Amino acid sequence: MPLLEIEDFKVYYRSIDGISQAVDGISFSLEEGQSLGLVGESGCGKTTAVRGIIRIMDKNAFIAGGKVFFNGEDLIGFSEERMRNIRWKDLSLIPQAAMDSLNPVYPVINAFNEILLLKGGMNLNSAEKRAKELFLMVSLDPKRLYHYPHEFSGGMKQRAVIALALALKPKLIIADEPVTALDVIVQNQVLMVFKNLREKLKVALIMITHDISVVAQTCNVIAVMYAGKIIEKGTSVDILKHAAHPYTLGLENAFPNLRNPNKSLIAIKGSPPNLVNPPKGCRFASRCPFKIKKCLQKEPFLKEVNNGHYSACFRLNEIEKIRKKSREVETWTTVKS
Amino acid sequence: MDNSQILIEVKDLKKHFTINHNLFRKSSKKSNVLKAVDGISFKVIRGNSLGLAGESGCGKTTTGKILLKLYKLTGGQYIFNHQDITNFQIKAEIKKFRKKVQLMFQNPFEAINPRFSIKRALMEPLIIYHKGSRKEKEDLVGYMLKKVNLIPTKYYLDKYPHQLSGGQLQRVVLARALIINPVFLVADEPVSMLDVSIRAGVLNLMKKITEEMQLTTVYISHDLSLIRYMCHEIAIMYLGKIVEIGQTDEVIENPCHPYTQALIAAVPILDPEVKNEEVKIKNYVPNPIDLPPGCIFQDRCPIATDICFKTEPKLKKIDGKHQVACHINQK
Repeated sequence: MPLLEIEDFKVYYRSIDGISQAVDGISFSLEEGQSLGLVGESGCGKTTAVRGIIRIMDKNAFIAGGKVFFNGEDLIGFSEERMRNIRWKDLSLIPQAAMDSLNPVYPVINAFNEILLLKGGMNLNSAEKRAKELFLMVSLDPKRLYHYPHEFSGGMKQRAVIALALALKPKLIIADEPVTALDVIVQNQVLMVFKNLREKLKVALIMITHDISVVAQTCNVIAVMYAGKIIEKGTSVDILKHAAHPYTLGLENAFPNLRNPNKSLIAIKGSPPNLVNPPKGCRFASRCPFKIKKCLQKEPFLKEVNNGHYSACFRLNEIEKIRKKSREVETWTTVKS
Repeated sequence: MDNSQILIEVKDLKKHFTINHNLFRKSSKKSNVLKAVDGISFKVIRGNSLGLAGESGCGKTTTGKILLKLYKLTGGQYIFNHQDITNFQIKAEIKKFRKKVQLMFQNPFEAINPRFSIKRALMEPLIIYHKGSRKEKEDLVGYMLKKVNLIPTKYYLDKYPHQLSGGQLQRVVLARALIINPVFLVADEPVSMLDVSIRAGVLNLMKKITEEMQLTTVYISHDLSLIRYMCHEIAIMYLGKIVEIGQTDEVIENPCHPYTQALIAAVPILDPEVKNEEVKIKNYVPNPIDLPPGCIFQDRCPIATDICFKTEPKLKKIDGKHQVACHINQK
């Protein structure tokens, strides 16, 4: 049984213009100890999706359907009280800009005490011991526990927050853009922390990011989101080496690669659709150079490309041809935006 | 190298900030000095581009601002177009200089006045610097919008910033910077606020236009892959100093300073089947106030020896234009 299984999950926002279908029927599952990278542009619904899973949504957001099985139980039916019991104990979140989530007027140890005493039922002594243990786990000096957040560098704060998320030995950690504001060297070290934790503690991980290169090294499964839908998912090798969706192929062209300087960059023209009134067919169709009539009329669903690798594109049978053509600049310039 | 081709030359550039820790008494006995930029020298040839790379706090943005003369220098010399402009004081002289240099900002959402239409935003530099008639100015605005691919121009002229996307706005920022036909452009993290699928478009556009206009550019970025794509030359900065400088391809393929090596090794590899190595340097950047003598990189360096703690390494040529400031790897 998978640890987390999400079926046709929908989170919508109420807005002045109408209802925005921010997350519109996504499905994925995660085994124990596995790590999933949720990749996509800003506004594609990746943060909304995970906030919906743990039910800490904005006031104008609501769950419009779907099922979220965690450990075999459907979280959607849980009362707020029960949800609160499993948050942090079973699944914990490292929020976006987590570095700023530490209270600046208290030493860092206070944050640990709060969790360990209130939720973990420990006493002060054992809480302190556990906090030291956690700091060592993320390679921070335990003496640092008594310092204030402003005495930490960005990378150290990020690690402290990771340690905090691990405090009650959750089965699943969700990290929202954990390395976005960090410099390359610090980023490398934080990613190594995640990698080691996963190997040592067998904790499952969902990592949200807009930077596909970040998940290439840390996650074994990747799901690519576009305009509220998962348009492709598979192992990281599937996605990065044998991508089978025009959007993923386009993204690959859009990155400068330090190790491959001769590659010229190709942009994907246009911008994502408005989700209050999404287009009828495929949501990527307006930017896609490979669209056919069918794409504008019917919505494509995820189909298996090969074992465990899914893509939501009508032209999967011609994917070899599309892959080849997607590397040419001319292909992408023909799109009218 | 022909000297007449050099547009920008800085020698031993220094910018120090004094930090007063005492909030209430201004004249505290001992004030600390933060050396944001501490003795850097480089040249940029006309039409070429230089990338300034390094971690946050290394002084790259300060350098950019010095090049635009937005800061008063603590020391050093700045030669622009064969003219020493270090001590430019007279307003008219500075205005003449500012007409030739422009800045492209990091965040397009904050760079344009939200109450100006795109047309008005693009008119602003012309109102200040251009002497043409209203019709001429309007034509120029249209021409510039076309140049940055905001077509049909009529559609964009009366739009306001909040009606455009980040990528479109950054094109407007570029158009506004280039409308008075400058010779030198400083781009400070030009695409870091944009989404990945849009970045490539802006970068390609900048590359094309700067080549067309023969612009000399300085790119400031922490992203080495971006600099490799955009720049002829690269300077790696660390704590206010240049530790390595040279042709981009040469520096990235054959990095000689342990800091450059670490920076390059830390960039994630896109192929999941090839594993990134763990970067071996210690994680913290030391406090830039009160630095010890010797090499600035000494306490993070994996290969430091005695000499590194005593004398400071100077930039030395190792091959052609490639210079590095490291005692160990210079040989």
